[in-house]
Amino acid sequence: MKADSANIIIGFCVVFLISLLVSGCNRQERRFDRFVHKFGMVPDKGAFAVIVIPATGCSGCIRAGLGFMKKRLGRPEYKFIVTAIHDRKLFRIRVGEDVYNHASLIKDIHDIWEQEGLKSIYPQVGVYVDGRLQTLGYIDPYKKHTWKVLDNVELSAIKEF
Amino acid sequence: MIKFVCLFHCIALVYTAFSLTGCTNGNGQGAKTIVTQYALVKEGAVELDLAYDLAASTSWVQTFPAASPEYLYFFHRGLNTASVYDLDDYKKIAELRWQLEGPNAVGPSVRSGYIASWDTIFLYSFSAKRLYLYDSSLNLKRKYIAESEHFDAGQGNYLRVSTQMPLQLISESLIFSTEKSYWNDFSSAYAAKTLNLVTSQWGDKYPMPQIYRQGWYEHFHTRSAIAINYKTNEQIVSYAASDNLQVSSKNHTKEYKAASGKMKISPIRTKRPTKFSIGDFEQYYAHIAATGWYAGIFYNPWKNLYYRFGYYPVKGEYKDSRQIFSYPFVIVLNHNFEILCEKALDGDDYLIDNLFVDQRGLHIFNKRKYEENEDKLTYDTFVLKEGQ
Repeated sequence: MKADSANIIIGFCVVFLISLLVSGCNRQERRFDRFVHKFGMVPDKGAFAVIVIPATGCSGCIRAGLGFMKKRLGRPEYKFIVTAIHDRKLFRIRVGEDVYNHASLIKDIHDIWEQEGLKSIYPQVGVYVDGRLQTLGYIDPYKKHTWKVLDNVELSAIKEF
Repeated sequence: MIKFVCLFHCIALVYTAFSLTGCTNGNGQGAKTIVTQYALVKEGAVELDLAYDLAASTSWVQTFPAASPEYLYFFHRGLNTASVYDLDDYKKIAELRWQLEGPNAVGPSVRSGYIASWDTIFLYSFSAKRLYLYDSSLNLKRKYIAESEHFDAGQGNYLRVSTQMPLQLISESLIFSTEKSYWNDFSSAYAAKTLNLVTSQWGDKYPMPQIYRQGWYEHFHTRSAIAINYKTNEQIVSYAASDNLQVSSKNHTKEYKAASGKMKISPIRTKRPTKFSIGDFEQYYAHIAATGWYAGIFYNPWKNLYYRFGYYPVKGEYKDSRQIFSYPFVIVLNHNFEILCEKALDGDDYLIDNLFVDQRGLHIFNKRKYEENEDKLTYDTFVLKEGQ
């Protein structure tokens, strides 16, 4: 009888811990989804990647992100949001006037990314498939390969970064 | 009558005791707070021209030559370019643009360094762990390799070079401010690393003070910053978690209390955690935000004053690491390290990583004015006023 009670308690604990972990992950995804929807950029059909690049943070990671962005800005499968722009002029000089004023580039001038609790020194990438966020991750120095993955792998097939 | 004399003696005794405690301090030697009222007052501003293709982001603003400054040197972060201004009229007199490719190039990650003279310019790359020496034509004269600073390498302090933690040159050695690593014991840690420019040998300088042995401090709280008084040849070290300044000369090392009246810094733990974890950094930031910290120390040779900078504790809930820079302040001290006044600065307006001192006073970059006009670097000027 005592063993049964103990098992039930342990079971509850395990379920509770798992639900905590899942809700933690979900919370991050919900925030990202809310952030992206604030810019009204999620179509119902097809696959595309939302790439958020902080202008301030890990300089090598940001350089890689901006390099990726410059060559792909305007392509329908990629949406770019630049955030944490503490020095607009520096950012404009670094990316060039054409990129800075490009209609497809979204500038998060009110730091909504930070307000949503998503702030990081690394770029963040979310892959949407048919209107649903499928994969989400930060591109830190150990995940540099992600830029190649985004280029070479069918977006709907990307399950993790 | 006897009672009256006793009462008089008691009052005199109490008065003497109060006077003594007001003028000396248990922690620092000879520390005093001056009775005369002083205030640091905003008085005008300095506007520097900024080229259309240069921006205000910087980690390195310095006047030179160090002993008797004539010029202001401003390194534009991310653009590998420096603007040089004359301190007399604040006109731009030179622009130094480093190559991004070729034999004289430095990597894009250079953020700071030290200019000793027009012909002796050091650039430091934190990520490449290299120090580059250039002449006035921006020809690369020599490279120095920094000691290993990898997280997993154990031992050693991380070199830190910025406006608030400037490099200093003493005879033929460069002095680097540092941040202590997890692996160093405070009892054997030093505040600075020295690089002998002739022999390329690295050394240690300024043993960390007693306060760091009373608990375990982390990250920004283990930083040091150094100023040099070329008139007295004193080296002044400000520690991020210490109320005291450590003043070294040829013959002695003394401590002077130079504390903000609005914060009390404590260690995060009693002893070193059992393992190093990057995951712990967020709680370190939260602790630093909750307690405040001292950032740097500057000497003004024209006014014979010191400015000690820091950040007050964050009010309210901790949200992210950037909060530790929210509430800057400055303490002004005279040449005897007596506190003259303390001033809170508006963190929405001022960046204390972008400032300089000259004959007119203390000039602090105003970021709000830069947002209004991106082709000017505007510094608000602060001067010390008596009887305020």
